[in-house]
Amino acid sequence: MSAPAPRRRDLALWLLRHTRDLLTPLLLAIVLRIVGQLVGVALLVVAVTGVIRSATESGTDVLGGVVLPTVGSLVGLALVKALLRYLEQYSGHYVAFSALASLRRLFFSRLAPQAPAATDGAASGDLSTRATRDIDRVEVFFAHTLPPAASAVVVPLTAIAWTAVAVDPVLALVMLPVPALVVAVIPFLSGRRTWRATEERARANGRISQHVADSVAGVREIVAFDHAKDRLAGLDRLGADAARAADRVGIVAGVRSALVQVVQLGGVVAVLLVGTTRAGDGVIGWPEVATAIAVLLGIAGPARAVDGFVADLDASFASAARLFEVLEREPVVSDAGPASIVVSAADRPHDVDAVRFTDVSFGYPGSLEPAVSGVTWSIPRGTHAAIVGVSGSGKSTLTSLLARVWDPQSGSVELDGIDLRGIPLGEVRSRVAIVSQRPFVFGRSVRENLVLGAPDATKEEIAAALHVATLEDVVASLPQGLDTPLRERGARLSGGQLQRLALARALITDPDVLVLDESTGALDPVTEHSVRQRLAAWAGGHRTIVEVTHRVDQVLGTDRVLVLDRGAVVEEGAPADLADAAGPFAALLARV
Amino acid sequence: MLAATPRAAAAVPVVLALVSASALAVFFVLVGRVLDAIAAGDALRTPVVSGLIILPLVAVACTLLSSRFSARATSGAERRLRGLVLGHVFGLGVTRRPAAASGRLVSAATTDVEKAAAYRAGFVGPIAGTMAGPVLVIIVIGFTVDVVSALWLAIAIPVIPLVVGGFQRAFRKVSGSYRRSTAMLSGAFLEAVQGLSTLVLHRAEERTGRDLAARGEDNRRQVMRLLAANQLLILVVDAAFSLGTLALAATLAIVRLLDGTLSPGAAVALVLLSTLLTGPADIVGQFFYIGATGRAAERGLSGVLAERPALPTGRTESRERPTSGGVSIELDHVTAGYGDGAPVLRDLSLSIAAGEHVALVGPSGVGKSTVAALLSRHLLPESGAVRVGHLDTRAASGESVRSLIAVVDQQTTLFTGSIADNLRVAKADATTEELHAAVTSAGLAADVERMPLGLDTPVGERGLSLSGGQAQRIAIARALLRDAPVVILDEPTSQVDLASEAAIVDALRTLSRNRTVVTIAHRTSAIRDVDRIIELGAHS
Repeated sequence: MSAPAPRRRDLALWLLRHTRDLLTPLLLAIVLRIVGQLVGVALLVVAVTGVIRSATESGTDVLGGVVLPTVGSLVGLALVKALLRYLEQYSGHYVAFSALASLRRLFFSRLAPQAPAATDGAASGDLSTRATRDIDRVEVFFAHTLPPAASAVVVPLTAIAWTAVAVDPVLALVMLPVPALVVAVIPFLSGRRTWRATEERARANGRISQHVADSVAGVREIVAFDHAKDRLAGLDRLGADAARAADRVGIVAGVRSALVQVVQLGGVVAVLLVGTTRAGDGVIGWPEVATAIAVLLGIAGPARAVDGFVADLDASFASAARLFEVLEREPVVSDAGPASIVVSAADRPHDVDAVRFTDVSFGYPGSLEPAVSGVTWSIPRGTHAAIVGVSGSGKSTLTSLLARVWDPQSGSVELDGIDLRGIPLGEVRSRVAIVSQRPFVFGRSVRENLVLGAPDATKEEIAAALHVATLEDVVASLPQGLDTPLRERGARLSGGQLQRLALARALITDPDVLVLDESTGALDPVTEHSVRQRLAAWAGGHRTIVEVTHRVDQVLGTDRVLVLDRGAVVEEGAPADLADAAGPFAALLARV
Repeated sequence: MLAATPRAAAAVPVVLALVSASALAVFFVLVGRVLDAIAAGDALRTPVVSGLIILPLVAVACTLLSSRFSARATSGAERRLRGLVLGHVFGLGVTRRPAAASGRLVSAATTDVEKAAAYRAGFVGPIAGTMAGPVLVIIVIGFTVDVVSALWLAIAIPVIPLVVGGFQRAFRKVSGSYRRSTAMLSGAFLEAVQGLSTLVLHRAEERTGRDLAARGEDNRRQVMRLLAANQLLILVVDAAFSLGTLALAATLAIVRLLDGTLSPGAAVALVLLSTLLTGPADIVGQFFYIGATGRAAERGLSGVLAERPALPTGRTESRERPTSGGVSIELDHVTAGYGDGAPVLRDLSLSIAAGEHVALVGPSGVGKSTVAALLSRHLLPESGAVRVGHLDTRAASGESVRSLIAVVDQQTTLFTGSIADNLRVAKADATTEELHAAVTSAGLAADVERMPLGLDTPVGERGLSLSGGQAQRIAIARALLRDAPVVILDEPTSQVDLASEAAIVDALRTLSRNRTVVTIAHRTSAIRDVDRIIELGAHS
């Protein structure tokens, strides 16, 4: 399903295509950084030159001719440098936030057609990681890795070129290897090894997180079997692995920065030695040597900024590849397009079943066993049907197929006698509404959450939906009524209230088929009873309700029941008949 | 907290930073001497040359040692803290904990531990070293270059952090709203990604996408406006350090050169030395950021470690137990509950003979699982006594009581690892033969044979996903390996697929042989093979 891993060149081009409007501010940030750092070098050179002139130009007006101009230039340059740094940081942040905006826009627009298939279940955590960590990583590369790398090359070369012209070409030649080694050689030493060690450390940390999550989830087993000591020992072993990997990363990084220091200080010594010789020959004097050393010290900082560039580059490419993998994936269901004609509910033929599964089989990608196989079942319009079975029996998979989250691998799912694959996706989802067990509630107002699927809902429609979901009193008791903001994940409401909010959210779209996927589990019996009564009135014999539950006693009042076990139909019929039949339904009923 | 971070973690990097700073300072002083020698036309003297070579090596060695030391101290602190947190979680035992609280524990043991360790062991020392370095540089200047210049610099250096700090306070409000704005920006995006399924099913994805982009753009403009003010700090820091160190040193060098105190070489050296004073400027930002997150993580850890276990430890009793036939169980006028609200069980008395098979039946909420919790000593009675074999649960330790008991719950947790690892949870030193025997008795032998690596097949989140029925048979195999005289079966077939039920009932029958068995069920129809049924509703 995933695309083959792209090459770096292709990845770079792909990224550039989607971040084209960043290039101008990025270039500006780079230029500002380069100029600012050159001013930094100039500061040192001006300071040393001031000392040199004070020592050599005795007799003239030293105070007015040397001291005041030097101090004045230093103050001026310091202020200019600070201003340039401010502007550089600001444009860097501009690049960062623009990059974030572009990448986020891209991520959302590419992921939406793949949802819900690609965004549900186990994948959701991984997607959140890609949406945050990987996008941030790529953003950091643009805003904070690229400009320092560019200036690490340009600033030393410019400063040394100036030294060759204005000070002494031989000393410049002696200086040249310093930035060459620091920028072009040392960062690439054992880059592969660092990368491998970094990956190893990430894996070790992943294993630790897994171990901790398992341990917290399995406290009951660990305590019951007196297993805590072994468990802690296992954690410590994983910690030792992680420490070893971290140590390897640290050693390489430490040796690299030590080498940089050796080369930079060695450069100073080399300039001193060569300078002494050349001064002995009378070609230059101590001022030239002092100026060259000032330049060397000035370019040390900019050149050092390239340290870690290779690791950053690798990490950015890895993140870009992870984004590419998700964003360039084909959606699992493709839209039939707007061709079909929408028939209003009243005009649909009464003799055709609202929903029909014909020999439907489906397995999730990567799973060996099918989730459902050979399911044939139909639900007449206006009835209340139920799908029961233990968790993992394939109940929710059937409802996902009904909402065309996935297409079956064989067989067909029909809505009013038409194969879902022939109906535009938007229409399928307006006619089939699913209320899930753990509804996702957005941190906006109650109203915004309610009208998610029907932004133009009238006051009356909202009131009607709230009534069926028995939410009127809850909403009335909220401080700002419908406009009360729900904090993160609806923290203000109880589990049962959230389920009813999700129900009202589905009702407001006026679906033909309402799917309740374990969606009354958190309600107290009294509330549940009145919700069921109001739902029956709402359905009014022409809307279809499909209820999915493992609580078999809840479905005794429905019109027909399908019993699933391990993805296959094991029984179907009217619940009253099945309860007496001593078959699978009765077996499930006995467990309640 | 302090126990996990030895004082050396802070002291060693400081000492190394001081040595490194003084080595570099003396190096620059020697550079000045060489310049004077060139001016005078003297030859280079051997001590000077060897100083020029040795001092950089000393500084480099300090850098290497310091980074190695911080990395080791950080890893070590991480390991200690993580063990502390998880050990604490185990010590708290089986408590009723909402899902959010479990998530918080996991993040405390991973993210918080990493941040706290990075802060305590990897950050405080090196930062203190960077801050202390300039002090030593000024001392070197005082001794080897010029006392007056050193004094002036000593006055200027502390002024810089004051200026920066004052500026930071003035802009605290801006910084706060800047952070909030960026957090909102990423929060709204993440929420839309996490809720994408819901959006798509409600056909709201395009509208939300547009809305998100528009709000993002508004927010971004606001962030940039705030940033324009916030980043003035950078301007101030940069200017303050340039002026307070380099410009001041250059002025001092020129003035002291002109009044004849300094040689030209020493004056140049003073300028060069001023570059060693700017270290703190580079870490001002980090200081506030890593410092704040590190301290927040430490507070989080302290919060987790402050939770006290609800039960007293109890005495460790001898692990001797009957090899077969089970032990007796007795509840003597027990009243028990979970502290919040009315007790679940009131004055319940029941006694179960060794080897007897008993079913506890009743509707949910009647206290069946509370009896199981009492027997496993996850809970102590408020009044009355619970005895398992010869042990009174109030006197004996949890480990002692639980060594007599094996539980098969409605669902079991599989740990990441192989089938064998998961079985050895119950008996760490079990031989392969014992594992195979347990797997066979649990009715899982055929399933294991079909798995790609047999007992070594990885399971759990990253391995093969087992069906509910298979997982329950692993739980039974664990109970078999545990080989305890008492077995508690807490609705063990309520969640398994119908096709597996018969095999599991068979395996439970094997497990029950020659043991005292307490089966818990909603209704009598699910009960087979018991000597006696106790209706719990009737007692309370």
